[in-house]
Amino acid sequence: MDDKVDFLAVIWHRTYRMLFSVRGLLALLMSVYMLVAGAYFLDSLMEAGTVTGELYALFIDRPDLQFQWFFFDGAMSKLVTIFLAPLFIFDAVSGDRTGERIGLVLSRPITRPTYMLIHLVSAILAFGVIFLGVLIPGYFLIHPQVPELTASAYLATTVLMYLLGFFALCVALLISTLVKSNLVSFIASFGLFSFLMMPNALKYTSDVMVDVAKFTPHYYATYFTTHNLEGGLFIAYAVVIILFSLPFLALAILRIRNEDL
Amino acid sequence: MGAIEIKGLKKDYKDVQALKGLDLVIEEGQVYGFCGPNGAGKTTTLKILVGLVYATGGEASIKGIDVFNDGVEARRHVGYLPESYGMPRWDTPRKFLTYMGILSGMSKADISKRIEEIAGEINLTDNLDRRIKAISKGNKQRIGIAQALIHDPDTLLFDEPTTGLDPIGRNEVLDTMRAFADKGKTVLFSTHILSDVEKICDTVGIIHEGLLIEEGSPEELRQKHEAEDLDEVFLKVASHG
Repeated sequence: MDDKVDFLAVIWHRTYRMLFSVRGLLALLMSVYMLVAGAYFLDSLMEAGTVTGELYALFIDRPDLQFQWFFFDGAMSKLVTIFLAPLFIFDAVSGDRTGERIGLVLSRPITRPTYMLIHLVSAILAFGVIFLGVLIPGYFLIHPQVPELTASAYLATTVLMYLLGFFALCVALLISTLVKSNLVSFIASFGLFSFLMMPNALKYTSDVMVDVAKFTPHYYATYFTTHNLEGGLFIAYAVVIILFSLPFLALAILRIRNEDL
Repeated sequence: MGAIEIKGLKKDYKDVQALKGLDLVIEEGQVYGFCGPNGAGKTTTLKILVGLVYATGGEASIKGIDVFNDGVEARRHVGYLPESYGMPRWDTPRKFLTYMGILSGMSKADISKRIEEIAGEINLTDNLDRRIKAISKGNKQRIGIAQALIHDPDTLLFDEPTTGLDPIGRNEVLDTMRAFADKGKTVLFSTHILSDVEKICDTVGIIHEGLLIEEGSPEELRQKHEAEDLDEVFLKVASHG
């Protein structure tokens, strides 16, 4: 890191600007909506136990887990992987290119990897503030109605979902370095995440899909919605999701590092 | 030691050799006008100096600092204004300049002070808190200059800074560059407008097809080529280049 540039000040400046912008407001509204939708989904399933009976049947041995599953798989994974995280980064580099700002920024005494990390870390923080800021209080609102949603499992899945958001940010950052248009980056990011979440969403349709889902971080992020929480496995899966993410981050940095601008 | 030194600089793109071994030395406190036809290699040279484009060969330094091996340190000394650039339309100049200052390693207190100082020097004070999208082209160029000056660099690299400006705007930009050099700092700017060069430059370099083919003070070049003005010099040199 460049010793004379206050990296934290730059990050804070960008994070603050993102949070207090139309983008931040949109992300907040989206998070609140998805939380309410997730809770409503749970509520309706509990009230009218006939909705999607087949889904209930999946949890015939462990009915206590179905609530976790419905909540996170039904709403939160879509929120994280498709919408929220990429919103903070899809235009990071492509926006600087199309807005012709990249030359101004990179003529400053910062390295290109630092520039990429500034984008990534500020997006991680902005995403974290919105995501955790909605989900954690959300637990206290939902828990009294759904005691099966235990704090430890909820928190563990929330953390894994946050890491899934990190994965989404790394991939969207790579896409943003590869394309020159914000619109293309937007469509590619959201399209790719819709595609990537499919194997996990379809994993109960066949054994093959379970195997395919294991090649996506979504499988590990939602693992404890269908299994009991184990500390060691939780850490292992957190590491797995990070390992899924790092190659995309490395490719993004390499790409911008070697490019003539 | 020159403020800017370039030796045997080469840049190959896929099918074009943009620079073929450019040699250039610019002394401290000079205003150096870098002229040449489109595609001569002016922008490529400036971009190499600020690390936006990688050279294929040769050497380049700013204030004795190797721009290839110690680019970050070299860029601390440089204020750069690209030929075309954008700024966040919904921001105010003050916010934009603050961000540029932070990226240059300045403290918030220093940035605030410096913004007022520069805004006073280049007549930007009245527009500091308006949204950039509502600001005229001439004033946007002032913001561009302000971002280059924000960290008080000792070397300015301006790419076509007067293109598209009206005569008043052009003169203001030229005055800013001259005033900067009068403080002992160095200015390298590329341009097509040779009357600008005659007004403020200590030295003129003419680049053609990636090589420096002529260099000297405006007066020297006029005498050498028995020309009335630099336009004539340029036409003679470029046609023989």
